[in-house]
Amino acid sequence: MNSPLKEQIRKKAQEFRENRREHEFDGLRVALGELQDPALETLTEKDVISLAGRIKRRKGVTLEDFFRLNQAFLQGNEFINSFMNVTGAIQVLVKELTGRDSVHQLASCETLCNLSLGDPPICSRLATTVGSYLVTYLDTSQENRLQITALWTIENLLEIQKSREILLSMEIIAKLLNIYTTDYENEEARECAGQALSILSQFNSFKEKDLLLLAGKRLNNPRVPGAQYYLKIIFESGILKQNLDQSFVDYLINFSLECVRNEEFLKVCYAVRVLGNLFAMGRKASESFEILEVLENCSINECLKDEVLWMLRNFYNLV
Amino acid sequence: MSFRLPKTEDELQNLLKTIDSGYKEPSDNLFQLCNSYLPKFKRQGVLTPLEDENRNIQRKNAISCNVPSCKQDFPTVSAYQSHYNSQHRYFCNECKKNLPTPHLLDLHISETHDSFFAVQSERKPMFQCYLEECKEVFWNSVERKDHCISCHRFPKDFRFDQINFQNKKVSNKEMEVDQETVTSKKNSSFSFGHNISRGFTFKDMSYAKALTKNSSKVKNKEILGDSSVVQDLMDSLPKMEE
Repeated sequence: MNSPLKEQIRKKAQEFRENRREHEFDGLRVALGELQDPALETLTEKDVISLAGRIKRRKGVTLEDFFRLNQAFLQGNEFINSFMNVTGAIQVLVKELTGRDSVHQLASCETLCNLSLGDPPICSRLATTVGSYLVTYLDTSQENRLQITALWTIENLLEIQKSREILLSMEIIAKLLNIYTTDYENEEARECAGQALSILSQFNSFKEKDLLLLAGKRLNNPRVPGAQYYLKIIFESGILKQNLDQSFVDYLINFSLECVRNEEFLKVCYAVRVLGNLFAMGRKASESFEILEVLENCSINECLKDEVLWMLRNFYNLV
Repeated sequence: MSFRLPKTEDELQNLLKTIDSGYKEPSDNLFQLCNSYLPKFKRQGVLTPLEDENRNIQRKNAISCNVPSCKQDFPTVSAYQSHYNSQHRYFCNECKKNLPTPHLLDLHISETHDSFFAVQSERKPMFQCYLEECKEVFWNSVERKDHCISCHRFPKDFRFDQINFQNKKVSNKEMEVDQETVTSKKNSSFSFGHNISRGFTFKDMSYAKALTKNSSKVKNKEILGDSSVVQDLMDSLPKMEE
């Protein structure tokens, strides 16, 4: 007879193996044309067109069909174009995405994510057809993988001007800010939302109402995954030119000082820029004087020298 | 290589004199050097390998969905969670409709099953936008749909649209009734798959003939009793010429 301890160890070992296996089977993120695995099937444009025709004719798309389509889309732009040229094929993906089968929903979202690697006209078509559903699924915080895959797709679409405009009209900034600043367990989603917001800030997509929203949302911990994007968003969105609450200024200065102490390059870089512009706009806090002490104790990358000196010049102008 | 601040105040002040001050836009040249070292976003796709079917069979402890009327089994907890979240989490008990988000479920319940909402919506705009972040309200779902299409660029056939659902619901309520078939020719005989048509016959005459033979002398009621069913049957038979 097996002792309970042995049974327990066996169970733990089995769980460990299963977790490792699940990790192995987890999604692999690759850019267009980067997929080079000899074990993968070589597909032609004709195969993609026939696959698109088949999924239209059949009642539902099988997981194998999704996998083959994904494989093809990652291999090159021409496969994406061929698929999109098949009338009604995209509607099949929409149907699966909004259907009742959770596995097919996820598979369809992954296929859309791969389609979003296509050219700008493809991206704007995707934003029009599936943007509203992707934005809707951002609210499904319980369904982590679907939410994250929707975020990946949105990130890809935000890179293209026309699709970005379509998504902006769907209040994407408010949705992303909610995910980014809400304290819940899904840290990967927070990181993705931060990255998406940083793309938007880079393209000056924040309007006045979005800046008001941004000023009201705060990231509590500068050490959580995705926190590196916060100061980037603050710096690039143009919020520092606005009239800011003293409590928000205090918070930003504290957050920036914490990031400089952290010594992570991206965080230090944007912390210095945020502090520089805050001081330039005549804003200070009681903690502002700590900056000299922090800079003396931290090792700062040489390429940041000019920016640090600019920030200090603004600081001395202020005091 | 790391950079250190000058140790004396004078040295620092001299160094600062060489630098511009003031607010700088993100596109300023000052930031160009550092920007080249910052990570750039690259569009990426995703590929999830197919799970082997044997794996699912080998699992002894499959998880069953415990929701009544759903008997699906799942190999992993995460698969079960996904199923539950997509099919049972935001579920309307009244009409068994499943919605993807809590906001859409709220809209559905208030607009479809809430009588207070129905009364209030006649007095003031009560229909909220499909986007939770948009605070506009409308008099009816058609106005809301127009708003979503024009302002938020939603597709015209938005699949979570309440209008589509309401229409479906109305059609479900109506009982299906077969249309009355009008046949111009009344069959007096039947066929059992063969070309020869057959009717009921008595030993010496047909059933129809027996019914109509003495119709002028004796009333039908007297022959076959007072049955209205038989009377109907008689009326449907063709009159035989004597």
